[in-house]
Amino acid sequence: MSEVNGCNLPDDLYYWVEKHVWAKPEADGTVLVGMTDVAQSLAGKIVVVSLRSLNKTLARGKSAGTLESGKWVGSIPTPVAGTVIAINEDLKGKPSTINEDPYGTGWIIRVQPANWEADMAELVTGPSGIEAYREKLSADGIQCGSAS
Amino acid sequence: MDETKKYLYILTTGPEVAYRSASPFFLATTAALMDHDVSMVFTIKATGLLKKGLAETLTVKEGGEGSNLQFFIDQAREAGVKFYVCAPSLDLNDCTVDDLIENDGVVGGTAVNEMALESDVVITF
Repeated sequence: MSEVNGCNLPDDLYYWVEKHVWAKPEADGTVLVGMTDVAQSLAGKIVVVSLRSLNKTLARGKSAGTLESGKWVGSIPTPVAGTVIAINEDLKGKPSTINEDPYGTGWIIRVQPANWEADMAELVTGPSGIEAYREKLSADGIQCGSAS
Repeated sequence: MDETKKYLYILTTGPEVAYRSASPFFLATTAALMDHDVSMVFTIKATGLLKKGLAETLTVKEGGEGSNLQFFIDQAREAGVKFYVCAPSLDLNDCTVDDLIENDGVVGGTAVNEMALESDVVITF
């Protein structure tokens, strides 16, 4: 786990830095998707999560749902194209789980990817990925706080 | 399969009832963020919400946390929501299109009806 500007960034995830979303390929070929610590910090306490229904097919960058925190609302652009095979139902009852554990129990959707190899090439990971995120945070002057 | 739907929000209430001003923009934003095609039509007194310099000073909730309408307008525009102004309402609000913030055009009554016909969802405020 790396820490950049107060934001936690696991080294093994694949990031779409501009959108503040992560992807995690799993052994069964599916990909888990969630929002980064940066996203939840920027959003503040999340009070509503609305997710696409199961079995929706999403192109990369299309909205998997929305997050609301009071007057703010933002989309959840999926970093991987494919079919939504699971959504995190627990978030409906406790949306702030995304604030508290964005890389664990705060995961958002599980996708059966259409072409993970192609999407993976568009994401960053490992030390170079963390460095890319560092540059983004510095450029935008983002500092994570304790939103939860 | 393209699941994009057309949403049309028709607003009639203006700055005279500030607490009614933000929700339409918020709802339109959420629809746009779900990748739908979203338009807002401003008619009757709602056109007044788009007057330059107004939204920054229009407090949505008196005594609240101080949110002004500009926040909600910016959020909607960033999400891709389109703003259309009803032509006859300009005179009703003593303004011209030049007095309004950036928008996507002035439309007449026929056009509004056609927009409603072509939309999957029409919501009025």
